[in-house]
Amino acid sequence: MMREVDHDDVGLDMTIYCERLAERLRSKGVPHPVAAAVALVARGHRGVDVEPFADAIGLAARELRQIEAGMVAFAELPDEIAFAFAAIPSASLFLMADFERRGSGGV
Amino acid sequence: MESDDPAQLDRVMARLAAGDMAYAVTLAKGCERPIARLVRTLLCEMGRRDLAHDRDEVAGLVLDACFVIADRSGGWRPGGAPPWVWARFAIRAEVARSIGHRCVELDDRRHDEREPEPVDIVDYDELVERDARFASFDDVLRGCTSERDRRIVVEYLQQQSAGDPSPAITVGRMFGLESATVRQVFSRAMRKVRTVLGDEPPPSEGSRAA
Repeated sequence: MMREVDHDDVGLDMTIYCERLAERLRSKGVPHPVAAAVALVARGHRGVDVEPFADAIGLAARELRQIEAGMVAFAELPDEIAFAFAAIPSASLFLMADFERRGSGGV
Repeated sequence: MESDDPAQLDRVMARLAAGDMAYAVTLAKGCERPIARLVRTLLCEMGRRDLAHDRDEVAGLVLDACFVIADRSGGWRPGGAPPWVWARFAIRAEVARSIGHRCVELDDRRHDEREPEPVDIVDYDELVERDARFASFDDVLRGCTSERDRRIVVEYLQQQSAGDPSPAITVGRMFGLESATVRQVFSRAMRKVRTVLGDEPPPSEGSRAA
């Protein structure tokens, strides 16, 4: 049986998307853009608002808002956000950690 | 979100307009296919079929397109054209900026000896008849310019869309005008059209005036 191929499906890479979003946030002066981007991508991938997403992953909505506003460092990201992001098929938390390290003047 | 669900699309665009960038991801995920289709079309229009077949390149440009739409989401109206169609010209500009303009080495001899000639053109009147966007553009154009200037604009757009590298020179020869005058007429008419239509450029205005 032949496999159907959809030529319009380009297979978006959410890690790359997250990096680009982080770059945009950084250019706007957001203090912790990578952590914010990870949280935004995790929520955006599910297509829901802050409250239902926070409820779904077991995090306080206030805390999620702070993360999305870039007020929380990448190293302080709650596991709930990290797991939600890592659950996205094309998203790599490891690569985002590397991106954060490079962006913050690390290795 | 699915791109063929207008209610969901309205909701995503409303959230984006409110500044919630998480929904740029929702848009990319749900509308990847039609945006990818548009990106490929734009790349082909720019003569970059090679990039149109490059999956990674298209994927990257789809992400850029989503940011373009997000940045302009406040101007989108529910019930109108899909956001990627509505923002087509801004997306085209972003694609052009991203891939750069295609360059070919100028052969001075060849260009010095040849006068520019009108190229095969699309039939503007036919487009106006069968495409509502062109009809609306033409209505506005008729309302804000003289008949002569309208014909200059139409000829200019036709030459431009057919790939004429010097539409102002070609149209100037048709009307017995200096190319600078043609550019001025075109530019003035487009400013008037934009005043009526907003930021959306005319259907076939994609590249810089010659």
